[in-house]
Amino acid sequence: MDELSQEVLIIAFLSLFIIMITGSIISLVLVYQKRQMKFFREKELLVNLHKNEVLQTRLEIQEQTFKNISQEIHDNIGQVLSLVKLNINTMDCTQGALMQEKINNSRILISKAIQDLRDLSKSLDAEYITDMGLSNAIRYELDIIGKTHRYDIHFKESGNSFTLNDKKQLVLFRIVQEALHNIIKHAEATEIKITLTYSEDYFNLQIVDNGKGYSDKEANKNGLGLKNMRIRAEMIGAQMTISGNPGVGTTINVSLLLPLQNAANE
Amino acid sequence: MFDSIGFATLSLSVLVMCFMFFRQSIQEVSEKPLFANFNFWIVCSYLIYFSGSFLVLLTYYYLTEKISIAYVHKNRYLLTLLWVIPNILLFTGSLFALTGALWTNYHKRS
Repeated sequence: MDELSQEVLIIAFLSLFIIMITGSIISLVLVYQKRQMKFFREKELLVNLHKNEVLQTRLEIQEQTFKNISQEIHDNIGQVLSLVKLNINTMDCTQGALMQEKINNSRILISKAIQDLRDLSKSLDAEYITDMGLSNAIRYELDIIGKTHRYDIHFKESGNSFTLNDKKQLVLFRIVQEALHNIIKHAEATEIKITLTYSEDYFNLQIVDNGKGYSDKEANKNGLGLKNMRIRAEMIGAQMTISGNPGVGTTINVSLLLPLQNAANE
Repeated sequence: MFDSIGFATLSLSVLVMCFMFFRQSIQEVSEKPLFANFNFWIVCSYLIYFSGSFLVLLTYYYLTEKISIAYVHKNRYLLTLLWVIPNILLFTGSLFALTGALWTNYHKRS
């Protein structure tokens, strides 16, 4: 084979080699694009799932709020007003002393109903809560529970306190309300401790009770409003952990990481 | 004599643009697969033709010159054989473009 033939052969082989490389590049681009599309579809699916979950949770929260209002009106204010009505119905003008006692009783009961309505209104009013500040709103809520004399209540703040933004305050307060609701309804506790910890770069909310606690199975069921609390925490970028064993009580921790420069401004 | 070097430079610039198209396709992910984009098929056909022909075009001038100095009929035959490569690639590229046209049309209808 002469020199020219060799050169032509080399060029032909090299060209073939280049075509193979080109083919590989085209295949790689296709595979890469396919994977990217798959990744984006999965991401979109996850985002949609999360949106649906948030929406469902909001609906559940709304339903629960209505249920709470209805329960509060029926069990508390309704009962008190029924008693007032009974008092009025059984008033006898001929028995002056007894009538006066019944009027006094009714006055007390109506005052209680008005106070209960005020408490209910305040605990639902977002603006009132943010104006009051998180710690004051929690104190107020604890005071209401304290009036039942069923619980030994402790509230503590540590660190240099700062004001979180309105949304965060409201969400944290709703988490506290949900946790307190759980304690009253399910925990059979005698002691409630709430601690707010303010640090330079994080904020921590801890709710502890000495009630009957719950098993992991119960926690995984996402019952007791735990799912709502978790999603609420996620909404403000906080992390929520719940620990508790049957008979030991329950501890709820909500940690919120704050950027250093924001912590001062929050 | 055919100025193959100029044509090789042109091939190189087309190749660069083809790779730029691929780079953009990777960076900007669209909802549609690349198969459904007619430009993809056209770029593939360009890429196949120009990348395969590049070396032939680059050396063709040099080989023709070499043969012109010592003219032998057998050598000219070799050169003709070498030119078969770009022609085959041109045919393959055209097939790609045709497939692309049919595919994208089918994809649009379905």
